[in-house]
Amino acid sequence: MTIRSLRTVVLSVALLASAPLASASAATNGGPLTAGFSSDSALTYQWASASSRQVWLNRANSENAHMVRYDLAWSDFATNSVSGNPADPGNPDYSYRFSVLDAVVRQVTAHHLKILMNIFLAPRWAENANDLPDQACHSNPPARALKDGTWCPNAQAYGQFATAVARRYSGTYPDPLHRGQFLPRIQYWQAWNEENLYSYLSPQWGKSGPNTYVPLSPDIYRQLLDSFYHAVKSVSSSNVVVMGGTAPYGDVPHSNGQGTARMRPLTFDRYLFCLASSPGCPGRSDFDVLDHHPYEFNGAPDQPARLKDDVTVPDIWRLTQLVRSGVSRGTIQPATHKGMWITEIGWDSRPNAPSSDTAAVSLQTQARYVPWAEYVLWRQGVQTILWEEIRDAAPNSPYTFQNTGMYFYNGNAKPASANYRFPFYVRRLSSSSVLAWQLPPISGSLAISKKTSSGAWKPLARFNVIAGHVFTTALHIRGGAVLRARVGKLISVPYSVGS
Amino acid sequence: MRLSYASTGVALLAVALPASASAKIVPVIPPGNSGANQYVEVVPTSGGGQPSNSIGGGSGGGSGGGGGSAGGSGSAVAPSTGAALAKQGSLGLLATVLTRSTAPSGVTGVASSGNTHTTHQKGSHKSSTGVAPVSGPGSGPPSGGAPHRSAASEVLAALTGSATHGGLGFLLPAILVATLLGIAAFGLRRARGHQV
Repeated sequence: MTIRSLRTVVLSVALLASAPLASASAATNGGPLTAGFSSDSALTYQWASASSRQVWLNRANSENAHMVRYDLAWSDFATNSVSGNPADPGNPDYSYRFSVLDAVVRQVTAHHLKILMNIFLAPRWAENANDLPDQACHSNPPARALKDGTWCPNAQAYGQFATAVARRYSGTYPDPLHRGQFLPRIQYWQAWNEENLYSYLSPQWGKSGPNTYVPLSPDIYRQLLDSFYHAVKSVSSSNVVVMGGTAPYGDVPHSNGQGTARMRPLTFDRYLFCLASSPGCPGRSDFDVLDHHPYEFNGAPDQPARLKDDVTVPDIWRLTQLVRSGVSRGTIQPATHKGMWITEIGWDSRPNAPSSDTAAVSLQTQARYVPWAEYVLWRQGVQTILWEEIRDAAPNSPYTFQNTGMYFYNGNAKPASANYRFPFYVRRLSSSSVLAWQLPPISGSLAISKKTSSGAWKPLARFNVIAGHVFTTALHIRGGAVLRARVGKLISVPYSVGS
Repeated sequence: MRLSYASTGVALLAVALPASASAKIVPVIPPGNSGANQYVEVVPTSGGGQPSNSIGGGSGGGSGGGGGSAGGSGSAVAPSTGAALAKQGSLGLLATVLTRSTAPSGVTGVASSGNTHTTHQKGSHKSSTGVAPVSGPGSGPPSGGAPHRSAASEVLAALTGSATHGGLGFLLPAILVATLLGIAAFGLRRARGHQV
């Protein structure tokens, strides 16, 4: 027997062993889906101790996370206007801040986590300089409460700073602490955050008459995005530019000024991509990936937004539809397929959520929603999902969506942690079949089992799966059932399906 | 003379054009604490904006509906109002019937405070009943659409109220038929009167 024929026999035996046992009617490899965490104070907080970060980065690894979003406040780096070349990563004005950031980037990448570098919030000196045609930004920013760094940020200065950061983490910049080595490369770059909220970008609206409102933030953001895109791409064309994630809800302005703090995400994008009926819409939008933050306020992951231009979990397809329109009309460039990411999502869990958060759910419900939401998002073409924080905020936080973590603040795992680690979701397709959806944490032979009346687990089907790739299969099952998946020694949380 | 008219026109244009071109846009500063509740969906109601999850509509696994303290299930006319109208005789009854038959599909009641709350049940619980293909991800709606029905059955359902929109059942067609018959009878009677 030749080696080749021996290999054929071994392969055939392996394939037979991995063949469905029974019941399974169809199976599909659903492509890669990246999971991670966003805005994370535990994983990337620059002022946390390295040992504290180490604990949480190890947990992120064990949770099967692959990406972390780092929120970099531009205002922290350049409190005063920068002397010398602002696009120079070695500019002495940045050196102290960069030394702190370098440490975080080294540590995170050493844990094989990809970084999404999100740059937002302008320094005071770079506000109020945007050159809108109507000069709406030329008035001084209001003195009263308004988050610093949001008022008409200077797009050119933003691009220069982005160039400095992208050069620093291009993979070819010498590591100041380790002679002969280079700082790690970051490939994923995000332009701003929640640009449809006044608390991140302002003004959102302008007034041209007593009751006539005009959107301003899409024009301001388009300039920021354009500058950011060309800055980051000038460093490496293989860098990926992600648009700032839009917040899920907005309002319609009233005559008394109420409702001007936020713009509905679809409204915002329609103006941004020049798809609204606004004659003479300037410019175009350049990016690779669209991002949205579909915080559900109405319940489960299948609950659409109540209002037309708001966007929650099952409404993502409306955003991708809009992007396709923009690409086909040439107002979105380059004219290639655009990715769809979710870089913030989560449900506050009780009992720690503030009483003001009427959308908070029980720990068990939060756990159940994790794979369910991932399934609904994946169905709409989402490729990356970053859950809001691995760990809850400190107790008694008055803010909503601060208790969305997979761990309590004290480090104890929540039930949702297991569902995050090995997402497994089941839904009924018909009276005689169910769909099983899973995101296997490791490659290998995956078995789906059904719980019997005696409490034992009866295998129904077995498949070869790839780590980080969605796998779906239809199973012939009548009546209610409890199913679970197993790959290697990893077992998913059981998921029940009704009759 | 012609020249002076022309020059006046040019002068007027010169004044008017820059004025319209520079229609100044003033940035709006939101009043109050606008940073609060920025992740809350606010639905406009007659009583002002309300958080969407406080006005019913079938949150996942949660309680839906909840249209105020009065009104009864599926009724657009509060019982007390209905009773008062009934005392007005046939005209009152007709008003009740008309109100119910023309009410928006989601009206669940008229609260005693006077606020009308509507339910928004688009797509609720779709994933538990919809049929999704097993194929890979796409960019369309995540759930299956509504089951297909013929136009005739849609009309019948709408008339009888067996559609998901609610309705008056067979009462509405009965009223319509009775009205037509009444008009026909009145017409016949007049015609006979003329013959005599």
